[in-house]
Amino acid sequence: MVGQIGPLVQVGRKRTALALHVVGGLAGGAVIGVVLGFGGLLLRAALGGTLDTVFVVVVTAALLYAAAVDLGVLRLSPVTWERQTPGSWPCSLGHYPGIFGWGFDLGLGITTRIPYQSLLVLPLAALLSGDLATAVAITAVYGASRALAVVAAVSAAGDDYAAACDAIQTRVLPLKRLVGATGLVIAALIVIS
Amino acid sequence: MANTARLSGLVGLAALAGLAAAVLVGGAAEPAIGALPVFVLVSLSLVVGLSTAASP
Repeated sequence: MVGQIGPLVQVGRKRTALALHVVGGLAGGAVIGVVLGFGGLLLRAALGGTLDTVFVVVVTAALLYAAAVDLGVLRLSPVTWERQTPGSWPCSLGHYPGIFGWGFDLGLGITTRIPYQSLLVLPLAALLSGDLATAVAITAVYGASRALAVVAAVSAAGDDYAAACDAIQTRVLPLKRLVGATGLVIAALIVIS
Repeated sequence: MANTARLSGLVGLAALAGLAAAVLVGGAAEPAIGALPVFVLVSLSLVVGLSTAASP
């Protein structure tokens, strides 16, 4: 994404383009949060207080699985799909709508490649929380922070986006381990809470 | 140096926004699952989101 959006923001107003990307990420996260939140409300109506037990058991188990895969302890094929944000959008939708669309698509979280298995826990937790505000908070923060990470990388890259991509790629494995370790800590905190 | 400061500022901004969202939801909405799980899951969202700049 850095390699794609970096050169594009040179075409128009850079700050406008990057701001639209963040707004898109926030909007995408919020939209999927609303959908999952309403699904959670239906589950809450059907299961009542049992949903809280389901939440603790299922989310903790999912976190343990995701952390084990992200940490490299469990060598299973990760759950993912190959779809990426369409590179044609800035041409087909227009420059700024395309950049907004990229943010929106990435903010949804589950429509593009899954870089970390821990990411899969987020929509699951949003659904099983059985609470609209909680679901939107979990997914909107993900969408906004993912877009902000792209903005930070593009801003820090200067004009050398290829070098920025190389620098990021060297950090993918440590970041994966960091995410996995965070997942383990969070699983423990959910169990003891 | 300026780029590093900008990067740190953006990451800090994201962290603050995320934690504010967690506090607002955990405190005001009083979710059935409890405030701590909401807080830690929003923190996980933050960590996963900020770690995925390299993803297509």
